[in-house]
Amino acid sequence: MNKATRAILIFVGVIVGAFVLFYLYGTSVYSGAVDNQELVKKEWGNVQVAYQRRADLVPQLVATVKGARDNERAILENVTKARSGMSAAQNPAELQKLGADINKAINIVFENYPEIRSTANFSELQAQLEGSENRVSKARSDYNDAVQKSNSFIRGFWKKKALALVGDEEFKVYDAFEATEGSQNAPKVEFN
Amino acid sequence: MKFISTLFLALWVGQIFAQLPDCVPPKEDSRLVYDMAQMLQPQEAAQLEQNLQSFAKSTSNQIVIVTLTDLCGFEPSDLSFKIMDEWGVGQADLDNGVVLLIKPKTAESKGQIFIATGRGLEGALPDGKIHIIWENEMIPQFKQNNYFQGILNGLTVIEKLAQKEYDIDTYAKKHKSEKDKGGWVGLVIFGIVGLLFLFGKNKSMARTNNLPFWTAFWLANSGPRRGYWNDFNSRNNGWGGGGGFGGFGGGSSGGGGAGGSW
Repeated sequence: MNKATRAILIFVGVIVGAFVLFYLYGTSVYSGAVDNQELVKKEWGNVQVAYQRRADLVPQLVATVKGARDNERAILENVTKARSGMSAAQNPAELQKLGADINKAINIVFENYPEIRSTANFSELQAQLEGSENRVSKARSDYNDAVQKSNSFIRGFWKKKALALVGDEEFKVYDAFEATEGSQNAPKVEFN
Repeated sequence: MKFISTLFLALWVGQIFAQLPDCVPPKEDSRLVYDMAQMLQPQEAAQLEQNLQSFAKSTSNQIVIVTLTDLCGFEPSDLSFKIMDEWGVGQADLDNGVVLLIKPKTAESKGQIFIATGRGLEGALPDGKIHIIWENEMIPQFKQNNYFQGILNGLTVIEKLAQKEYDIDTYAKKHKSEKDKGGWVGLVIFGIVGLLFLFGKNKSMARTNNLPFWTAFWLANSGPRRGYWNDFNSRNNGWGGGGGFGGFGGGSSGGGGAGGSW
């Protein structure tokens, strides 16, 4: 074997070796990306559940008020519509719109039935309202964390190359919840 | 090889340094009472610690008490959720942790309390009930500066309710299958480490590079859970078969709980 052939063999070997290493790296990047994506999906489900939980409070609020009749049906219809839209919601913007509808309904209940404040289990209701708001914001921030992790993972320079090499699946860049006008605000329920 | 291992290390380190604000003390593996605001006498804190430890041991529910003079700008609720998530209070698969966060009343500011419940305890301890507990059992005592009595009263009710949801039997049942799995994972890891050691004997040059790489590799691939160390901890518990309190189990919060001020 003369010098030139050896040099060529080493050269080819190094390239093949580098490629194999990069491919191995790519497979682990791929499974990492899949994990991240599943986490985002899970957290998205949690966000939907938190919003739905809030929606479920409205009928409960209405039921608390004895003699509430006139607006009851309209309120409940709106809430039911919003609630059923939630499982179909695909992105934060859609969900926030539905969430705003529910908050509106809660406000209407409190405006139309001021006597709700004097009901026996009002402090429990209040705690539930706060709790559902906490859950929504917790779920949203968890979702944002997952999205950030997933997005920055798949957008890294080498990871992007590795993913293009290994997987055939498209990894989506997800939208996070952003503070938008009005819809982000918690419902202003006046207790006093 | 080094390039890749650096990459994995970077990934791993990025995930380990989770964000808890400075005002929260670092967690310790066999401690459940963190009285940073010094609201309790040492022997009172010790008594609560004893109470919570044995409760954790006998039911697997983990209750943490944290008192802080300063919430570093956070809402009590948000800070409680963060503590529960980052410390991993409760068992990973049951999410049966409770974080009791108290900021004492001072001349300038109101006292604040928040009781956060893990996902698994939201049924036994719904927000409405928590509200009643702190309002009726704790605040009246706090108002007279009987912090210990207030906390103890609240704890008694919380423990009674939490116990109905998860006692040691449910925990054991859930961990029966987990235990075998834990053994397997351990075996595989030991196998890999052992092989590497053999390798290293032949090629002592590579050892220093290889070991961090594989360690990092394993850590980076061990899943998207928030606390690997906690997961590992709970697995260790499973091995021993006892299920005693030897560190937080990796539970997380779904935003449940209630609180207020006085």
